[in-house]
Amino acid sequence: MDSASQSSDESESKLVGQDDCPSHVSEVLLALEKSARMPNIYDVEFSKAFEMKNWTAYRNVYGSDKDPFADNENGRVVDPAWVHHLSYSEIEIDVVEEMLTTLLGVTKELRSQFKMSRERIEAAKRFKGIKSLPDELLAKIFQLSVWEMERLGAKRAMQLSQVCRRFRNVALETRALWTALYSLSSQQQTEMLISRAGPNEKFHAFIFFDSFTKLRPIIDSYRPVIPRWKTLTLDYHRWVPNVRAVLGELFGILAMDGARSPKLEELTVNSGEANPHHGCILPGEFQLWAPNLRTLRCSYFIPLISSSMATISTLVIIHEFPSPTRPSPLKTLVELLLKLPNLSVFELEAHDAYMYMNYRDEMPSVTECIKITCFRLQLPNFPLEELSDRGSCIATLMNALRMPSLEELSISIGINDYDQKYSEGTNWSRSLNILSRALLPKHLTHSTRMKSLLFDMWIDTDLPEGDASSSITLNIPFDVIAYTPSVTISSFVQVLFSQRDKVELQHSTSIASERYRLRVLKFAGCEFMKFGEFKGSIQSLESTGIWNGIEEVIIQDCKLLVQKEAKDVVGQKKLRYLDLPTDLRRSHTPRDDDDFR
Amino acid sequence: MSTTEDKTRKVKLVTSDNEEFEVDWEVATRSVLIKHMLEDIGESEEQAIPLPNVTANVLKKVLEWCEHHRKDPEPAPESSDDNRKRTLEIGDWDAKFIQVDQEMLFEIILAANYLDIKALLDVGCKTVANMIKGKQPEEIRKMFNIVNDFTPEEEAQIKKENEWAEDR
Repeated sequence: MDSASQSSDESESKLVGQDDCPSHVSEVLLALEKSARMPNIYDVEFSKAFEMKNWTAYRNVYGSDKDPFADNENGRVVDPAWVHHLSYSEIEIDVVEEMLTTLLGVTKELRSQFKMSRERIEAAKRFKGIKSLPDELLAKIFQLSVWEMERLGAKRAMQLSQVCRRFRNVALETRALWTALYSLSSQQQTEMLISRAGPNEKFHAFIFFDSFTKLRPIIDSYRPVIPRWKTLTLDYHRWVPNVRAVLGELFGILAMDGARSPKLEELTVNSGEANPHHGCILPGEFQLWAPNLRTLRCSYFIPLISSSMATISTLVIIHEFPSPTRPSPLKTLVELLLKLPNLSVFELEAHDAYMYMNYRDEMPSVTECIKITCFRLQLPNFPLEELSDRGSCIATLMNALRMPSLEELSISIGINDYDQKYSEGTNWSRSLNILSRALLPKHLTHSTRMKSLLFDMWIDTDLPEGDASSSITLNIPFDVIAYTPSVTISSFVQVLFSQRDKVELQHSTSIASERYRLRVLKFAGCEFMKFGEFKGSIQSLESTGIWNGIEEVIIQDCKLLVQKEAKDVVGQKKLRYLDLPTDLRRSHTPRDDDDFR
Repeated sequence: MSTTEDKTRKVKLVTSDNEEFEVDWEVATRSVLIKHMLEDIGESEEQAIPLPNVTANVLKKVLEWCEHHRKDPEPAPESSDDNRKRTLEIGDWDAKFIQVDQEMLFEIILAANYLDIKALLDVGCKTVANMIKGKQPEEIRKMFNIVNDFTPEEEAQIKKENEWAEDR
């Protein structure tokens, strides 16, 4: 027995008072008192120390060699001393139980007091926490909180200013919190916001249109700050029948008042999905009114402008492309692009662009956008099986769009009809082939300034429970990636890099291998890629001759491909294995937001 | 611009409670303050950087973040209005990292501000903004144990503001 356990045994023996041999059950209390005084109380095993056999009272009753029931043939206990001990001990046990109950009550009360104290300590710490932040950090938190609310930012700013005096002071001194003007606010609230924002802040104006909207009073209440509008967002309720008329009325009033917004940088027009418009001509005064407009964002609305707008550098369009009307949305988009000679960033979220429409007769074969350096294409909710080899809206657009200065190309396709059971086999691979050729046309190889390409194909429905099919392959034309220094691929099926077929190559010159520029290849978020698929992808690169020039292969967030396997395929020198989640920007199937309020 | 030598270099940091941490140069220089201090002291590897405003338990947490984000690109300088487009979303790892008690959360924010680690400061501030999200003034008071110290006159003004907000 080691010294520690020996000491523990001694303590337990002392606790039950075997040395003193007390004669009553009340020795329990003595033992408890003693235990409380023991210096090594935490080492004592109470279950062992308080074993029944250790207690004198128990021994007095049951511990003797004589069986108290030995002579009870007539159902009577013979030993009267035993009976005496028993009844006395019963009374003692009752007393002890009462004492212990009282003690338990005291501990409960103490515990509840301590809990309250702990909560108060925690609360004090919390108070110290937010109190410890200097005003500029509190203001930063307020800004994040208010700006996230966009058109309802003023509501959040007001809530923050009503918490306590310090919050109010910080909120009122942070003028940028009060710059979101919303047309559904009351006159007094708008005046309060304008006053709190002070004389120099720029404003973010939101105008909501429904069939009850009266534009004149709104413009009147905004009048003092129209020259300080920085962004203007026009939200149309889905049942507004004529966006063109409403827009005409707005610009009519602004023109009539001689209003100018020289600081306006961004105009957003959100028409509902159920009510798409294209081809509405923005009046000529538009450019006089906003001479420094840089960004145009349009959702289900593609405007036309009467003359070129050289100030616009960013265009963001969300629209559906099949339409029975002429000119088609595709033609309107191309015409708009041609009116923006300094456009450098173009973001397009195209809906139903898989459909084939005979737009060729009205579409120019080539649309040169010479200043575009960044093109981001989103194709959410894309039914691959519907894609026809006759063509598609998106193929027509990509075929026409020439971007010789392109540096960054990002393509994201959310496939909505993948089914593990039915998507097997060559039809799917064939459709994927048509898709990748449509999105990465041959002429992209003439965009010689390309720095990065992202090709992200993902499942825009619930993920399959098991693996995606390994019999489906996505063929990426190798000529496009060969000229791009950094390529990121994200796909739920196997990716192969391959030559275009003979028809596609008919009019093209062969690529000289010394001109290959691909250096970094990244596989990100390929959730079903395993060793075999990865090896196949790399082998397809080796066969095209690009492999030797690649300096780094990055694997990120590919859960089924372990680092060792990746190393076996590409070698330690080239591999960079990242266990971080990917942050791919994906536009999911839209929900119709009917409530702009 | 960092050199290969820099990347293999170790940096010593000393906290307000006198604890010393030795970390990679790449990790330490996520802090712009430390980066500038290292530039000031030059090649002197032995010299420890004093951080009198940060305690050891907070620095340990901050360095955990810096280690995870050591390869991240330098954040681009931004105008205040760029923030307007930003959401309150936080990456998965950061969200897990910042799941700490309120006391530590505010300590991290203060440390990130002092050490000039913009991305970490953003994570902290967004976390607090998320805590505030959708809450009424009374709920915010309760959450941060704030006393309502408005005078009756101020309360009346607030009541009036709320009437304006409801008036359409």
